Amino acid sequence: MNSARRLALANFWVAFAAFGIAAVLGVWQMWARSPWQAPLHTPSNYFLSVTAHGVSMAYVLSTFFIMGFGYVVAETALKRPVPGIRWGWIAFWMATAGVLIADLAIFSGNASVLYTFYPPMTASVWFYIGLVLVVAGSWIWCVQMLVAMAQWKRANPGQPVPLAMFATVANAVLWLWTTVGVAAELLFQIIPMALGLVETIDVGLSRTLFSWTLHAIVYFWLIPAYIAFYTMAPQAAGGRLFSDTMGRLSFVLFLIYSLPVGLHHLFMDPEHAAGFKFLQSFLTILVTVPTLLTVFTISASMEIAGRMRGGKGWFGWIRALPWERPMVLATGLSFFMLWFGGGGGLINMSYGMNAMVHNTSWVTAHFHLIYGGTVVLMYFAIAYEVWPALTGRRFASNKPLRQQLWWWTIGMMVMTLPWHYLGLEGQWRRVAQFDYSDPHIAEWGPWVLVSLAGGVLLLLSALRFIVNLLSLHWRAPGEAPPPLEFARPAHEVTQVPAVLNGFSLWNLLVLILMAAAYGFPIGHALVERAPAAIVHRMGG
Amino acid sequence: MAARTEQDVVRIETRWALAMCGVVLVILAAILYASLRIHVNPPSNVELIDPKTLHLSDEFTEANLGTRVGPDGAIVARIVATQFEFVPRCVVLPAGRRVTLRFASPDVIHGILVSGTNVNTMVVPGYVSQVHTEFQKTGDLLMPCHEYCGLGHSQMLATVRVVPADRFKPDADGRVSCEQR
Amino acid sequence: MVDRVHISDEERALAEALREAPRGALALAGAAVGLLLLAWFLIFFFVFLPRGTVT
Repeated sequence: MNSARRLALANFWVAFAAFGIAAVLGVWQMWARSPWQAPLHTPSNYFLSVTAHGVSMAYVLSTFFIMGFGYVVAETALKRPVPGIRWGWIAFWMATAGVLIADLAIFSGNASVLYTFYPPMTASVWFYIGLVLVVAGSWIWCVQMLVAMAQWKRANPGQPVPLAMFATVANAVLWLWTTVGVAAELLFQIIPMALGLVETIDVGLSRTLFSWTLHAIVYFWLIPAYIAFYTMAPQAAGGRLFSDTMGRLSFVLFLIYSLPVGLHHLFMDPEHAAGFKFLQSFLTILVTVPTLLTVFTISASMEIAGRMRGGKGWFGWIRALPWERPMVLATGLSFFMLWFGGGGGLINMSYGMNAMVHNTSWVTAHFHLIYGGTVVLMYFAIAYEVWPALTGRRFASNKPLRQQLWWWTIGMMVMTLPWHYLGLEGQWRRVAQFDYSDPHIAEWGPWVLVSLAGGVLLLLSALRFIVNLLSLHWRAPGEAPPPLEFARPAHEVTQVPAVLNGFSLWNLLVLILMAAAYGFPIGHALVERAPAAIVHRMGG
Repeated sequence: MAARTEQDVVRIETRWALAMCGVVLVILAAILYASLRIHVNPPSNVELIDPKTLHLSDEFTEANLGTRVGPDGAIVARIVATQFEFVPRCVVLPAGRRVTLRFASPDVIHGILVSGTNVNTMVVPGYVSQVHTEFQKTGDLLMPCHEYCGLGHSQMLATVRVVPADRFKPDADGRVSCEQR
Repeated sequence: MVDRVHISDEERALAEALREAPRGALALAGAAVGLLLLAWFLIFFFVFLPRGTVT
């Protein structure tokens, strides 16, 4: 694992540096919202912080981690150098420059529009340019992944693409489709607005284009965690993947069903009517299926491992698993959080039921738990798994790794469970300061403090994670770590159907589904131009 | 059971997949029931309005805001959401009767929920947001702006005062306001 | 056709495991999904519907 090693590490460190800073901001935000006095507490600082926290966690941690992991998978699974390393470095520097430019805009107070943008509020154009650079860099990564798989297939005709790479490329394809929405919104609406070329904007259209990206992006974030479930957890547990075919099927189902569902973020919006809201609700129900398939397939894979270690009966295999291994522990903890986070998501997507939770703290709790919990916990586990190969060092002990994973899980549950409850009690979102003198709001105070405690534990865990990784860089070289290996299926796979070895059919289905789900909502907005709103500049 | 061969695996996985399709269909059925029988639906009224001339419109001009019972008996509360207040800050509505809330914004995106109810909608400049409902419980309900609308967002709150139907007394013009009590 | 003499311990353990699997997974995943459905319906009936009709 040589040529892409430094490139992977570079991407990972940008991801984790942004993560560390965002974790500090997150705790400050929770403090500011609580009955306890926080320092530097002004609405201006609060919304600056929320913007920085959101951009760092949602756009930087995720994108850079995924790029780094993709390079590792491409080289390890395909056993050949990653194509276009020089392009990879161009992508990295372009994306990193983008992060710095956007951060400068944010921290100078000129971009407090949150990571979801909210036109007609308009930030400094540099905020948007910075994010465009991040996305453009990631597109280069996508091309590298596609080329890597194509080259491998040419060199290995008729062979099944290793599952980890197949899923990585599915994710790259997904990302290319996903970014179309926000790219269109930025290119045709927001950047002209930020540059002062136009003074009004069609907000309904802008929200609709953004929704295209907003749901699919969470699957872009999620797929690497699922790659770990399918290809790393069974290996770490000493077992086998129950079904390689189901793995491929799950990833292509994510590809086709995570895109035409964005309108479920707009259930409460006035620019669309029941028909398309319901259609996209129905499609969202379908995107739950690959997760429901995954929980069974991965449980079965872990069951094989447990039984191979002597576990017996209906549940004895669970105790028999090697829980001292971080990847195994993380999988169990992640699945635990998936029950709550996925369950919350089921409620959010249930059409009329969305009214019960929209824009309350329930939503904030949900995405912190499912992304921050289920997904990011697996990012930690993946990092722990690949760091020895990347640094050439072994961890002295797995104990600090396990403790960090436990702190993260406990912190996330303690932070988000009261938040879910408060959301149902009517606590709403994006509030810089609550008026605790109001008796109704005062009742929430104790629960907000509980959440804050969870947040503090998360920050400690975040710092511990970074220290754990640094510890490998600082160690003297010793015994070489074992090479990274992906899980084998329970029954050898010599051949897979072409549709589960490539993406032509799935790209076509995406096109058809997107035309059906978004054709009218977007087309209608372009034809029946809604009266535009006046630009509100948030900064210079 | 047993997964001795790949065919076994495929068979078991297929059965599980069918079971999961069944699970999601059950949820879909419940959603349809809530929508069609209990009548809980997301807002579905698509109506355009120019945010730049809201104050000049017939409907959302300041004198026409608040609760009014129309000649046809329809009870409608009209509220403008703007940076950083609701106009009016308080509306009165009767319990146990079908009422309509209509919102518009002259500036940026806002949103509302009425605490303890399923009344929830975004308010997007360019569109009128409309929700029909029937309040069951009386009392002063909190209606915050729940979408980030700028630095003053945290202070943007209104009250929906739900009164028993017999205490809902419109004046000659059909209007009811919080100040009357 | 595998020569019995050369089956490793690992392969034997795998074959054993595959005789029992995936009943454990069915139990675990089945229980998890069942509980999820129950939780969804509890919230549907006891929190959501009582909050009233909106159209």
